[in-house]
Amino acid sequence: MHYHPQPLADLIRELQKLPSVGPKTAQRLAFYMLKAPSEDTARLATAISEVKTRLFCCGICGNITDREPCHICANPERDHGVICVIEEPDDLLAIERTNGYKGVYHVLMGVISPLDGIGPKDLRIDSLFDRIESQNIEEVILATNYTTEGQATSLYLTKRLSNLDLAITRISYGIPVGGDLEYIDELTLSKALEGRRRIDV
Amino acid sequence: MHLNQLVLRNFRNYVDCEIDFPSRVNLITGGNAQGKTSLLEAIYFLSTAKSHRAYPNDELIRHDESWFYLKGTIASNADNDGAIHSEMTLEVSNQLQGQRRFKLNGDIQPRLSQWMGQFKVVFFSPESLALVKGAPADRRRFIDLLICQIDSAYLKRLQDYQLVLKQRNELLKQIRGKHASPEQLGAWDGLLVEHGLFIIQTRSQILERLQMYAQEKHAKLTGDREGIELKYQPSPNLRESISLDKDSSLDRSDDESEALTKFESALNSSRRVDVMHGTTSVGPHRDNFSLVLQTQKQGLTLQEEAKPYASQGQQRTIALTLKLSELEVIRHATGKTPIVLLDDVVSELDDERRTFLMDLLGKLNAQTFITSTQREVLEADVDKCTVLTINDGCVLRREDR
Repeated sequence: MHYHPQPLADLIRELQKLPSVGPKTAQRLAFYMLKAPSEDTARLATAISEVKTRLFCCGICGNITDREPCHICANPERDHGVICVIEEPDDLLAIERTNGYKGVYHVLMGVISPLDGIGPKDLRIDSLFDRIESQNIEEVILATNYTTEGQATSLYLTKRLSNLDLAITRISYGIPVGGDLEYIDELTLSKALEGRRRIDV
Repeated sequence: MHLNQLVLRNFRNYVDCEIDFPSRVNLITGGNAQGKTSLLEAIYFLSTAKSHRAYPNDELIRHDESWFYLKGTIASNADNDGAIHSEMTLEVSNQLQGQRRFKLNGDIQPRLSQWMGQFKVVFFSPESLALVKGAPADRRRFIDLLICQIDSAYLKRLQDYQLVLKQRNELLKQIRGKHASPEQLGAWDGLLVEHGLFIIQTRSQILERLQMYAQEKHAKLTGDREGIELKYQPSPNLRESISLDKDSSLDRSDDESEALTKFESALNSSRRVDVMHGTTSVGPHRDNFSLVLQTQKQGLTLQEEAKPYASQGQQRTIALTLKLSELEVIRHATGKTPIVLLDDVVSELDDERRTFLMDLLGKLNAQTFITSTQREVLEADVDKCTVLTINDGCVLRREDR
């Protein structure tokens, strides 16, 4: 075993917990910090701790924010009658990047998965129904992932939403824009064929 | 398809062996434990990346060695216009407890799925008798493996279905323990039905095709004395109630949505029992297909379930019929004729059935590898073949006739 002084060993151990960081990268990062000017490392340390102290989840939609309500829920320009239901806050960022969606969001903070012990009660589903009851919602877009658990969650919501007076939609899936048919996996392609649409002429 | 050459290094009891196979029929003889089956196993490995006997790959490495290597040179000719003769090479190396590397035409294939299935093989071994004697799970595996070879989307569907089933079963246990509410079941039922119906319809379609070939093959193998019928038996509570026809028109047909509703209501009505047992009782994971043997006795036709009533030789013939029908289904779907591997098949067939078999193989025009301890029994039935005598992992003698 190589011997690292205690503070260095601690840093390497903590860095290694980050996603996609292995022992070698962790060591490299630690030595980089050792050599960097102390103002830089202090800024990094403050940034990391402020992420935890200054950020929280929006009480309405669950998005990560530093003010209550978040900038999307507080924005009067957005269509508050359309709610897009997503799994995680980073899905929100992905949809926002399209610049095409003008409604608001609702982050579930996960998906239903009995094998992981996660049921509807562990997700932000009750708060979604509170929102629907208290406001005038016209449409709910289900934008959970096309995984087995994401599909199950979307089906569960569909069943519970079906007796309410609003439109339920599900984002479509199939061939990506610019996709070459030759390189698309068979299941996606067969699903895309199944979900083909008539062209109105 | 035609295997032109096989190279084995440190595979089972082979040290370094290079064998050419110019003939269509190849007889592999030799004493017990000399490496006859291992040769077939190596060919099978080039097709599926695993052993037909489900051994871990590391056990295929020769004693006291740390790796094995296989290489096959295969001519794949399109059946319809025999003119196209393109040759491909498949290579695989396996390190003890370590890396496996797959090459196609000399290029490393990072994804196994792109390497597997290039080379089509149908393997009949003593283990294949499980198709007749074994549990429904054995027959499901046979049909699933067959579909996977011709429909690349099926495997993903099957895996999705298994995951939904696992999630649903876990939920059932939680409901039994009062840790979850039953209203959640609906979502999983919806997914189970969607994937399940696809699996049932695909299986039914393939079984129908298999049945078509099986009747013809079985009649030929028995000299028209016996018939065979494959009966698809979908999971209990689903029998007779749902339409098995797949529909590819734009709007979901009434039949199809009716099938979905029926499947869902079958799930609903068994819900109470399912919660009690913590498992799902309806769905394609409970499918079976039964084999009904038709025999002529004193002018009467007898129909009997093959599993309890058929003799050893009859069971062997049925398993052979299924394997040869598998070959036809693959050939029909891919336009390529798989290679046939017959491990110890002739030992329990009488002279007449053996002659019928060799005759049938000749008509199939498939390259065939047959192992047997007694060479005489086969030579009589074939006029052109290569006879290899294997001794302790080496080709002791080679005769091309």
